[in-house]
Amino acid sequence: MMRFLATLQRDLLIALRAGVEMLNPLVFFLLTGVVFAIVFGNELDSRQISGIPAVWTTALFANMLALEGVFRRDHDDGTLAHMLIDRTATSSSVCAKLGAHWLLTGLPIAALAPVVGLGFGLPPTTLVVLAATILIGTPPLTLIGSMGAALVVGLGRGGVLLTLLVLPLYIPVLLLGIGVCYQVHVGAEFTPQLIGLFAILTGTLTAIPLALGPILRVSQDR
Amino acid sequence: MANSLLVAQEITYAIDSRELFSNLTLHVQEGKLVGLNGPNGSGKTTLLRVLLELQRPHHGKVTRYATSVGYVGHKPGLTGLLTLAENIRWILSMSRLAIDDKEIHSRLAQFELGRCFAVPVNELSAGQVKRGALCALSLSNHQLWVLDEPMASLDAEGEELVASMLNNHRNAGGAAIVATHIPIVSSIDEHIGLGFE
Repeated sequence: MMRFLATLQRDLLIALRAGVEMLNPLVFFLLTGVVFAIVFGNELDSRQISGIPAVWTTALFANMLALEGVFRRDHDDGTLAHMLIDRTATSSSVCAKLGAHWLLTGLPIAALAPVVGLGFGLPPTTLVVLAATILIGTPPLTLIGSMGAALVVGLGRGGVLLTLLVLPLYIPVLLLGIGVCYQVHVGAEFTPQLIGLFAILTGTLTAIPLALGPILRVSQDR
Repeated sequence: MANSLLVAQEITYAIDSRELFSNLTLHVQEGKLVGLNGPNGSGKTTLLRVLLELQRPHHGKVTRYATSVGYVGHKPGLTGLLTLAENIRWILSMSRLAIDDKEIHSRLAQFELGRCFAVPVNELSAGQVKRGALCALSLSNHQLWVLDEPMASLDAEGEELVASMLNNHRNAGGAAIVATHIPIVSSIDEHIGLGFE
């Protein structure tokens, strides 16, 4: 627990000192959301229907924008080696890093989602569900994306490769997240989609932190 | 008989068709300082990374018995945006150690870094960063130290400091593997040469 808390505190402090850099995903989310809201026409019905996938897709890309750097700085300054040499420290420190990433991107994106959703004229119930599904959906996005980030950390600029690696794996989260919001919006049954979203959350939270240590070691081995 | 802290058995590592080392066997025991000597590009850093299990050898096996291993490599392992004290606190927390600021400050003073306690690492010189990383290592309780060119960027006084740190660590029952391109650490117990024709 000591390692987890120390690494969480360290990463939050680094983000705070990095300043504007940490705001990039949130600015991207807000600006892209506003642009979509402007170009999606004046008819309220079609704007509302297209607003749900637009907000979710924008949230997905905003989350991905910050992922490449999640291990990069530590790899560049040699601190990643400290986390990997002691195998008992790897899981807790890597989990803390992902926790910090989610606190700095997923959580604020979920909080801002209703604001972006307002631009599409979404009703209050849909706005609340939109924020809630993004809150549930961003941890799996961070966890899935972190596997790609871990794989490309040793390769100079791995941004494009990271996108190619993780984007297909993001699709189920995206579809289920949009599905829950859409079903609530039209007043239909949404339980199966919500169960699916929670299943992905549970599965990724359980399996990925264990896999990240070996993946990071493989990426060091070149 | 002293306990083994690390055993490497017949390890071989090659880059493309060039073998950096082949069938190398190494036993590191408590109270021993092992030196890896060789010119630039001879594979010292690669061997250290193999011993740390950050890279896999193409043949052979590395077994670690040490309860904990501390490493200071070419990349110092200190984050530029954090102060020296914050970095040291985090490194110590990785070994589950919580040392108060007074002790950290006093140890930093021994490394002539007392004034750098609250200074961000990206404002320090390369020599100061190296001293900071060595200071963190000296505060930790690692049984085995792995040092890659510890004298690089250091002045004569810093070099003496490293030699004294290594002696103290050995006297306390620890062990170290030290890679240098020049055999400057006189108290080394066993030398392993790499890349010599």
